[in-house]
Amino acid sequence: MIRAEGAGYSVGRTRLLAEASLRLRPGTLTAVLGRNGAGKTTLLRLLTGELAPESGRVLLDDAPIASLSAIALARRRAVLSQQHALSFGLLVADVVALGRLPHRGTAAAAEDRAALAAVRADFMLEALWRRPYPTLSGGERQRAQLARAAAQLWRRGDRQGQALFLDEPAAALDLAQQGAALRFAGDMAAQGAAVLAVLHDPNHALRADQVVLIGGGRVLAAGPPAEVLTAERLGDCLGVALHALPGPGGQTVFLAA
Amino acid sequence: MTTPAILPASRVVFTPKTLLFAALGALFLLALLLEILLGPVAIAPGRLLHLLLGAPADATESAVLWQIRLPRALMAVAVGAALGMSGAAQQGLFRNQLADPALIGVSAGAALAAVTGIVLFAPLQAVLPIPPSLLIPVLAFGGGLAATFVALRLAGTDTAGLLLAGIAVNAACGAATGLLITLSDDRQLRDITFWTMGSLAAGGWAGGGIALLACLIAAVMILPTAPALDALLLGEREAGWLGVRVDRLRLRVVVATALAVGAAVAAAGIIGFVGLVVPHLLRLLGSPRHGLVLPGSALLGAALLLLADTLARGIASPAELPVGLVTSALGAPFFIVLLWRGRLA
Repeated sequence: MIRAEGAGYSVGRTRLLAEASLRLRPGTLTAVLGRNGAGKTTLLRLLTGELAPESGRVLLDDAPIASLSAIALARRRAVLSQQHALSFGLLVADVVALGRLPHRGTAAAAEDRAALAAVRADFMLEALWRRPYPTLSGGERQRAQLARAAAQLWRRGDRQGQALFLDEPAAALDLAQQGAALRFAGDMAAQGAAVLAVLHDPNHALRADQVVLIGGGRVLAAGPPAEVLTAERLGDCLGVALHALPGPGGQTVFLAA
Repeated sequence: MTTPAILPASRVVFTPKTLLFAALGALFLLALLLEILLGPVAIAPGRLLHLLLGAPADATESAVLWQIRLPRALMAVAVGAALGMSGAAQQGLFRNQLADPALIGVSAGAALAAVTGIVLFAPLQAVLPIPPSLLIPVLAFGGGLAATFVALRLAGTDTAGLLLAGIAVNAACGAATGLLITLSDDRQLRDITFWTMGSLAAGGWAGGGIALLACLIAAVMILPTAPALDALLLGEREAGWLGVRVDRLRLRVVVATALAVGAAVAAAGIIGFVGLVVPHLLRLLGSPRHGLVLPGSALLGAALLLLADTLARGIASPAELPVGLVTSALGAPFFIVLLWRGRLA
């Protein structure tokens, strides 16, 4: 559905990403792994249409993503960034409700209440719902922001045509919540959305349909987890020696040496 | 938590928002009455309706009402609403509770142009034969818009750039104003001093009417941006991903506030702290949502300026204090408390 063809981006003379080619197919979860500063967030910003590539192109359904208006994109594509600060004391309910902003004045606006009730339950925000957002802990804020992204894409039926981008969705969450965040990403893909998640823990990428390794502003490898996730490749990409151990489900798990 | 789908028909539900606006409306009406009734010639509340309906009345009372109090109240409403709403919109745009319409140079540009008019009035009048009561507001309005235009051109594409450009424009206008002040004679210096402290006395029906028109145009531009300003609180990129065109939003808010504040400064001089304090009060009393803060700040700004003007006329009666002095005297301690609490938190 979304496709980068040789997409590159620089700031001044610093090349942040060079010739990235990548496909995000409907109904698949793509995990992006790489060190800090490798170009993961730049790739995400190109694929969401926020940045225009300097070289190459980014297509959505075969049309340049820049040809869609910001609002048309927002009705089918949600992004969770790493930025969770808020200078004013909006309530958690207000923050989550902002996810419905792109649907104002459309038929989907009739579902606003249902969407908010659903994501409030899904992300266990009942107790936090009337709390001022700045009083939340880092992990609670992350959950509220995940709920906002979920509210933006909420609809009855499948997720065909939708895209979800998550920049380190597991960061700042406790283990139970990490599981919930990754399940959300997996569920969205299972229902037909194209999902991309930037991750730090290679074990979180095991459940993805496609794994992309990024290093030095280049795509080092892209393919199914069984192919890409080897101790050697991961070690090269992440700059740390890894042990591959047999996991409980017959899978391989990785442990930093 | 679910909201009951069906409410008994007889039960009227008041949301906190409705109650807040009812309280603000009541405060506004009270302030309006005080401004109209109080003064050296007090008008009895019972007489007001007679006078408004044009019933035969005492000529002095009628003249005081129609030629002094009502135009003055109109000025206070237009200027207070413009400053309050503009402050709220700019604080939302800059995502900073301490932003103020003066930030991007509107007031400094207006002041420079007005001071130019006061100091160079004699040579100017040879070219432009219009009276100073008209010349100064026209110059101030033009100066405010020009300063905003320069700030926008300097700013580039991000909000921090606009802030820096505003600082540069403020500094340049301040330096030029200072230079003109050193060149002025004693009488001009007095005029400048009083202009920069603000007054609602000089505008009359025409000044108040123009300020109100500018304020209404600004309101039509700003009020529909409330949801987009809410989204902007998440961050510029996050708002963009929610479909907000941040560049267009910024331009719209800056142009609308320049129009409203420029007209307010032109009509009444520099009136400080209304634009800063009023939106903050709304956030404390209600919520930071712009659907509440923007219209609420217009209403509360109008009410507070009416009360400040009633005070300004009453405290040292029969002399009159500049209303900008009263708002600053009340606003500065409030601002200091805000800063102090921010430091402790």
